[in-house]
Amino acid sequence: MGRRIAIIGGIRTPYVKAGTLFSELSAVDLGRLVVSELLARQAVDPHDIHSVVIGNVAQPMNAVNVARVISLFSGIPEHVPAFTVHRNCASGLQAITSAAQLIATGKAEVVVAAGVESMSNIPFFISKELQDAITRFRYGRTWKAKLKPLFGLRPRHFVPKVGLMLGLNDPTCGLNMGQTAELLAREFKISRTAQDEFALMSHQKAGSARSEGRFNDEIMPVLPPPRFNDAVTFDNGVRLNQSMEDLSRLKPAFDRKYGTVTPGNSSQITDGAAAVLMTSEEAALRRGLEPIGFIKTHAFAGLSPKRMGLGPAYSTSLVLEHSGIDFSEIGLIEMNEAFAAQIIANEMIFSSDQLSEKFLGRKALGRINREILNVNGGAIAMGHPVGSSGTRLVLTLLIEMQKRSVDLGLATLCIGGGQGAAMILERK
Amino acid sequence: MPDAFTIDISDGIAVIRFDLPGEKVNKLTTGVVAELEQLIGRLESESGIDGAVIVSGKEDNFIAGADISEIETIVSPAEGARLSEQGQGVLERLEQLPFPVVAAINGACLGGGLELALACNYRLATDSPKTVLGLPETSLGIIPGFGGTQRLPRLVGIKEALRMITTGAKVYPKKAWRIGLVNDVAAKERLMEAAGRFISSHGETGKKTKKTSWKSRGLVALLFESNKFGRNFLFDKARQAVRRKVGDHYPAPFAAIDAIEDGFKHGLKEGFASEAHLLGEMAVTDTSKNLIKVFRLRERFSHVEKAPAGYISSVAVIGAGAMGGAIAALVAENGMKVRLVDMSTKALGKALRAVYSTVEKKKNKGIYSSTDAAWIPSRISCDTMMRGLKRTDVVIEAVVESMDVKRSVLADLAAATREDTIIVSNTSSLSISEMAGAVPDAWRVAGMHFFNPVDRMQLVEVVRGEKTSDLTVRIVTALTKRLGKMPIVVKDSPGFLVNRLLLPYLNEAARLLEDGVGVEPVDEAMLEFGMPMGAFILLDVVGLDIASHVCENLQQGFGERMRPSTILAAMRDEGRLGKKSGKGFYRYDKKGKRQSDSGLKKVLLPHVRDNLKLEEQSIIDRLILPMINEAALALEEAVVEGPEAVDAAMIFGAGFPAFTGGLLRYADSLGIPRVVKDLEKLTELHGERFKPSGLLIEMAQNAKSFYSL
Repeated sequence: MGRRIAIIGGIRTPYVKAGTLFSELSAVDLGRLVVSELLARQAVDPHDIHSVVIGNVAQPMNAVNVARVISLFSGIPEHVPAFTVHRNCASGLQAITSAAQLIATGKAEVVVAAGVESMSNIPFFISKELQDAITRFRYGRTWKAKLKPLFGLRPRHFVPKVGLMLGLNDPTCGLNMGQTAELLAREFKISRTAQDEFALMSHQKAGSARSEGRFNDEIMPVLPPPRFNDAVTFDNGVRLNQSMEDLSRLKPAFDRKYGTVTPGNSSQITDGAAAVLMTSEEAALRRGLEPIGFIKTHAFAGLSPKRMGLGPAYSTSLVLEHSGIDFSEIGLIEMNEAFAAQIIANEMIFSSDQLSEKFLGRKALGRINREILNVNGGAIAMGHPVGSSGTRLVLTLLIEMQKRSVDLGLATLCIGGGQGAAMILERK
Repeated sequence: MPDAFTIDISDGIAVIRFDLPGEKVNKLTTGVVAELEQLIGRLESESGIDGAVIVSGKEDNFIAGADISEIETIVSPAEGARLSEQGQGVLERLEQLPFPVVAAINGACLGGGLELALACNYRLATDSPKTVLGLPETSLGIIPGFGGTQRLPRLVGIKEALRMITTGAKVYPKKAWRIGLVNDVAAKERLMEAAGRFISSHGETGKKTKKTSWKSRGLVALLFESNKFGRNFLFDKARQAVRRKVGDHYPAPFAAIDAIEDGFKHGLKEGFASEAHLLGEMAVTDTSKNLIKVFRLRERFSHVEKAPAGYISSVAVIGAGAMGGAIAALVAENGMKVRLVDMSTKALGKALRAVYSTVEKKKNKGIYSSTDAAWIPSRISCDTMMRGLKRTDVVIEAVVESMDVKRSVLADLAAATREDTIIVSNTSSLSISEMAGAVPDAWRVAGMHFFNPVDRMQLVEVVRGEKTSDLTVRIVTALTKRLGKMPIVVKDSPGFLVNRLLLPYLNEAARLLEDGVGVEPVDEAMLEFGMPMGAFILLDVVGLDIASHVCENLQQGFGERMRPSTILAAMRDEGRLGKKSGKGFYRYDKKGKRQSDSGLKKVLLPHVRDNLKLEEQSIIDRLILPMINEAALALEEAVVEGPEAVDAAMIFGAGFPAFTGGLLRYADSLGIPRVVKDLEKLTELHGERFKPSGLLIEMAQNAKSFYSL
């Protein structure tokens, strides 16, 4: 890469459980809210923006290339190009890395990168048989040709398919995301209790971050339609009075008889958006913008789709190798909590030479200190709006690095389909 | 001859291009009509023509209508009727041409322009947002005189024609096609091709045409419009609707209904004759002459210098109350980004809800497309703190009407904005100069006095403080214009202009109660005069708390002559705040319906000192003459530029009756000596507050009027 990439600042909406307060806000609305707010607070003239990159997983059919739609509705001028990126759960991080590449290669100077997801608005689909029948009815030349396929339909053909569920399923390995977590729990022998304990910790950390006002610089208030009555100012998935007892009562969701992965120790289905403003270090200096941090480097790794949850170990190994940084130098870590089981499996690999050798073909990276891991809680507590989480991890990490004067931080995610993403950020 | 037409015949099709030299828009002047007649004569004798297309050579205008200054100079009904007959004759010859004629309409097609199009065989409109059709004559106090009252109802049906002609409403292409006013709508570049198709298929049998087809107009239309009784019902209804809307002060809509009715009762020929006769009658009325003057006032004050390039792309509004929310909505509807700031999320939510529901309503009415409906709310962002204002070009504060609060908000704004951001205070009574003291660079502070309800009232008083710079005034007037409002620049003095004239009027109404005159007689007199509502109804709408507050402010500024009637304070203290509290001078039920209130007597009784019985005209004089006097004082003090500004402000900001031409036109029509004499009489009877101003006395002595100063 050429120029050093600076992140000037960022903002996110509260993360809100799907089907609750934000269900009337589309991905476009969420994106528009967050990008407008970013522009207002960063006092950037929209004419000075050179490109917009937005990550989004469930791309809405009524707003294809959702990045362009969001960009225009946010008041960014028509001459500024925009594109949407998709790397499943890391789409929000992909937006930042794609923006970084534009800046590094001198193709753009000031770029808005964002991640948006409205999981409330992922549509249901009709069956292929019903779709064919409707198509033939519309285009059939005779009444016979029009009606014949209709008579072939059976009741089961009218059952809609839930888009969200289709999306969480990996067609290459036949497992859905929860089942990949169950696989890790079995193979790494991770108990239900260990998972629930981790989940409890996530809620507790997120709860105290909220009560201590540590999200104040990160979360914008949102007045949601249709009533616009109360501003949503915090992540509503966080359970302040969560207990082990409550967690232990939940039924496993993916292996109903013998499983350990429950809705309580998995990330939540959530709506939300996050955005950051990026430029080069040199341009920031010239334009008088004060960065909250810089990107050191990043890496994406591929692995077995069945064990996609191990993505952080694979990609972190790679990114440390690239940068020549030792894991012990990392002062703060944001690892996306897709599932507690998956986080714990990564922790085991990080600290075990034997597991590292088996999966990564190297010596252990070093033990993960839970004191510096997800210090404000993670997706188990605040939720995982898939396309947005990557952007949030970087934003949360940089704000917290500032507050704690930590120089090096790591943001990493597992990615459905068997990938991992890792990015190292610097404060100075 | 003005050389307005060129004609180009090729392949049997004559393209008639109308392009009036030296004008931005095409107008049907007498000269143009004469030239058109010659041209028709030539076409009548020409052979080998299969059809003709009338197009405009102007960018965004088909024909704007007749020439208003010609109508203004008509002095006798006979002269008006002759002009009308002449136009009717020419258009009849156009209609009788032996080949089909198509009006290819792009841009405004209004008044005489639409009447010309109505005389063609086909009308095609472009889908441009600039393309509008309508017969706005009644809003100028006249009626369509080139056959419009006869041809329109036969084309679109009586009911629709009555609506269009009596209200002067403009019709957009989509609706024009639906009601059958145009035969088709096409893109501008395809208009000639479309015209060609209509010409080549002309006369084919079985061709679908919307014209006179009951099927397309529906059963209700058939029921009412095909027989005498149904039609009579429609005419009665239309007369009632006009009376309800504008009362009896405007004769033109009634005359138009008469002309339409005559055409159906006695046949087309009689109809045309009636139209010409009535146009003549209407053109010489004072109402028409005055409405034309008001039309010019509107043109004059709508023309403002643009803001410097790049300015006003984003606006912020501080305070999301009813006023702040309405201003923010207005900004968003007019295409600018707006940031709405209020400490209360409840207030922000309420404002957003109002925007969404207004947009939804306008979408359902077809005013906004679903794309507009998506864009407008997206332009608004909200915050509970003064954050994110560094990119804002203009900030409008609309917080509570208190000097201390406003000063502290302005001081905060000075810090939260760029040093060249214009800071505007929306105030109805506070001094901008005093407020501007809270901002280090007072040159960037100005006032904007919006009138309630913001979405309906056209006027905005742009207040220039002592230190306000010319650039600031220019930007604020340009913003006002971009918001679709009419800016009038006023000096920073108590009450600015409109409240300074209006509040004493309301105060004097209360003093009439002290003298023993009743609430209803006063309100009836003012309605008779032509005010949109009675003085006490207006007080109830304004609110007694606000009215007495403004009156007290004015008293501080101007002294004894503005001393509020004790009744205002008494009403306020009784909790009779007006409509908002359910009772004021009247009582209001839950739906806001007004009834007289027997409990009022008790409140008023301690303040009644006399038992005057006044004639209607005396009531009018006592309320209107001081208003004229105050306007003269304001002119002496150079609060506004001149009498035009006073008249425009009072018509568009206070609902002063347009048919009078405005307050000072009305004064001129009374005669200044009479005004002075009556004011002197009132001074003797009721005190010094009626004392005529120096300017009035001087005008009376030198036989001058406001408009001949």
